Amino acid sequence: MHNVLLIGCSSEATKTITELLSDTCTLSSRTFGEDLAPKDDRMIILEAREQIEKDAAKISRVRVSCGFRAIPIIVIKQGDDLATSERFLSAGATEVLSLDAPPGAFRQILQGHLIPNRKPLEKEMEYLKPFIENTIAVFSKMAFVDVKFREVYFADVFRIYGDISGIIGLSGNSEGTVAITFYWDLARKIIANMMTVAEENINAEHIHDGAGELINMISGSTKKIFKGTPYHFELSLPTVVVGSGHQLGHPEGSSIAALIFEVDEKAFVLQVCLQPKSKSGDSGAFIMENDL
Amino acid sequence: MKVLVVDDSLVVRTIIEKAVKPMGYGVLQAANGQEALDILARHADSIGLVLLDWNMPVQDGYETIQRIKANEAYNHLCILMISTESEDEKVDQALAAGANGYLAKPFSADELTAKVQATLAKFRSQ
Repeated sequence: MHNVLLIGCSSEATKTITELLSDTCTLSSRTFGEDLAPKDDRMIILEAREQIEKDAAKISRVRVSCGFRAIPIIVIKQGDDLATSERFLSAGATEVLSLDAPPGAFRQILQGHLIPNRKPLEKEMEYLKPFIENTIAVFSKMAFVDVKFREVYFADVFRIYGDISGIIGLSGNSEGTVAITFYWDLARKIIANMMTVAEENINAEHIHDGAGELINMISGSTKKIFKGTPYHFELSLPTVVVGSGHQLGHPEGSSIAALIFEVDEKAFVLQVCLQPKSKSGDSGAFIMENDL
Repeated sequence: MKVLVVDDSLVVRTIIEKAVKPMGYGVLQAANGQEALDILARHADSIGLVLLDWNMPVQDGYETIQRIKANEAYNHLCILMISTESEDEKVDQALAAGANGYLAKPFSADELTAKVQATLAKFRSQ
């Protein structure tokens, strides 16, 4: 049974969802409040019942509370206004559904979102582990913080709901991208630590610059470990993207590993999309059996 | 003596400046190799050490070493490269071009100050 959390749902919506999911899910309900952090919930369903921007703000807060974990947020609402749906998606919703949708289709969509994200194979952990170790090392040495690695999952499409991402393009034996994404408050704390100044003295330029430098250091120190392997890459100059809901381009057909870390219970995520070229020189799937 | 810190990251320049100033050095900053050469053209006499990043826009650190070494007026400059490019062949490449020392990022303040002292001591003994 999957745990599904209903937030701010009316009795009518709760009844509909219970009828659709109670055979496969354990449902719990909560009003919208301070304690939003999902525990072992596999999906969150939130009913939009207020003004668009108020509902969008609620969705954003629920998304932030998920701490980059792959928890689908399904927003249900009356009607099928496209602009409203787009606004909710940009705020952090995974899918926006109308209560007027046929029950069969509604159930099928919800069940689809309960399929868990793929976990890495042992072989894939070989190239993810150096990124994990170097992320922890860079933060410890440069920002004097204790970083805990929480979990990793793969996603084919990964929309980032953080506030700022430092991104670096990779080329050479392997190609792809590595990106680090923070919410603003954690980014400010980390950069203030790096510069050994109080957080109130950190401005947007510092955070922008620091996010780029952090991904540069993580990628650079990992690159050295991959010397002589098909995972080895060359670094581009880092770029920085600011704004919630941004999405990165990745080589077609590649999977994105989302590595979630925490500093004092505040999450950040490292996206790793690394695709070794096949021996013929074409971009291919992940590493072949005898390549290492 | 002044130290010229060359890095496209303001955060890194600040970290380095905070580590180097307590050693008694004045600090000048440049965001890329071209800016560094412009500063050297005006203040080379007062500068004794260049702390140089590798990957930078406009002009990278490797090209900057080559340009510094091509100018006899800069023979007194000690160059310490500080870069995320830490593979042996990159280090060898930088040293062959004329760098006097190499420090990989990430680094602690203690590692930086120790490397600065060691690189300057080695340079002065040559």
